[in-house]
Amino acid sequence: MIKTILGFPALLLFATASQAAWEVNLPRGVTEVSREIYDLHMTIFWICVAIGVVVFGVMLWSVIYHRKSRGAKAHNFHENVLVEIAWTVVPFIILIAMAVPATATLIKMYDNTEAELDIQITGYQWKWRYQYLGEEIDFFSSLSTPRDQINNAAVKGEHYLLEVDNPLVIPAGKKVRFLLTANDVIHSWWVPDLAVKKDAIPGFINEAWTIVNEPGVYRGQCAELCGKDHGFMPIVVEVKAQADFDAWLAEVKQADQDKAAEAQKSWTLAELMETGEEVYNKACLACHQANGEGIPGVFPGLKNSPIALGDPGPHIDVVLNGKQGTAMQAFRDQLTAVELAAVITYERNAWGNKVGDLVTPAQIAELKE
Amino acid sequence: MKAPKENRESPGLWSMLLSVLAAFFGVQTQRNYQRDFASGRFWPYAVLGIVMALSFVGLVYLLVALVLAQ
Ligand code: HEC
Ligand SMILES: [Cu+2]
Repeated sequence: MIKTILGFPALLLFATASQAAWEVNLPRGVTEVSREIYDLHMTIFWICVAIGVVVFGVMLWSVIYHRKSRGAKAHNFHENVLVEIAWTVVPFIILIAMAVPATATLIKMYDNTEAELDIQITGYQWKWRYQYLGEEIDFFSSLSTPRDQINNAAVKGEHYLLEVDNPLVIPAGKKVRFLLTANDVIHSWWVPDLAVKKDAIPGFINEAWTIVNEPGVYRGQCAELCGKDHGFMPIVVEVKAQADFDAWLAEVKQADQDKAAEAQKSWTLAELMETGEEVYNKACLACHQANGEGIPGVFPGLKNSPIALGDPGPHIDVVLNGKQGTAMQAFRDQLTAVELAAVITYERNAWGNKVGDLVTPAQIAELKE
Repeated sequence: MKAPKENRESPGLWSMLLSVLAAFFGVQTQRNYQRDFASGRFWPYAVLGIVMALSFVGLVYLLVALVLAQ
């Protein structure tokens, strides 16, 4: 027993050394503001430690040296104005002393002026949308951890649940302003290394900013309980040197053009089914489930659903425009014409649905105009 | 209608102000407390309290404006 107790702290130490990712303290982060917040946090932490030592020290000392068994007699008095004033004034002074550096940091954190790049971030159930204002860049970022890892059917990867298909990319050394809002419920965009944690609220726009000097990859999560897959909408920020960032911009724009062109070529049923399954697994599976049967009472099944088996018109409509007031969102902007056509075709021909028809990307591209 | 003149002297403005301040601070001597409750009237204290609460709000507002102006 004694051995176990002694062994425990040693084990903790070992765990800290061996697992660098395991941290109890606030991370120092990689921006000037995050370091300032860290220093502030440590200053206040040590002030609290000092107060704790003094208060508990006096208490313990009294308990030990003035205990009844030593013959101590309680001193019965009612008021002592001097002492009462002292124990009110001292905490007041300590609080003011802590407020001075805290205010300086807060003012810096809230200074959203003079940004060189504005990015609108919108929270969706359960993914993020990044729109680079002034650039024609607009994409969704969703979890890319394979379902097998989540279901314990495969070994979990290094960045389990902290990896996405399209990371947010920002230039190093530039002030980037984030404008945060949400499409459905309240989310919160949180990247600890950047010391940015801001609620994304439908109908409101919150602002935050960062300047990251070191190129690198920084990961975060949604920090506001937002429904079933709240834990499955991570954030990945890739900071690139300016030249690399410019190259990335050009690449994304080119890819968007290619996608538009792709919609115009002709697709076979097999091709659409293959793409459709990928899209379904990424964008629809969370609610309608892998077997297409949904979750009764919450998310309708698509297997044998009259919409999926009936005329394509209403089916296309519900996927493109969603259903107001339900969790079924509009996928019009989230997916490309090819992806939309593919996923709709997939739903009409998977899990024993056998409509046999095919919704073409060109048809969807026209509707998306 | 005039309240009948009390037989004892009520505390002056300055001591009432100090009492309200003491209430804001949360510490008051037993002697002043007895005096206020024995010979003070309710409304002057209430009005002073409200005025001082408003001044406190104004003071905080000014302080914030001052800090942000820097
Ligand atoms: C966040 C959960 C969620 C996601 C993700 C989702 N859906 Fe839905 N979907 C719903 C809900 C809820 C409804 C029922 C809406 C209603 O009450 O009419 C629905 C309804 C539908 C319907 C109509 C079914 C019927 O029988 O009424 C279709 C078709 C559909 N979704 C397709 C899709 C496709 C395609 C995707 C992926 C691109 C998708 N959904 C992603 C929640 C979701
Ligand atoms: Cu969320």
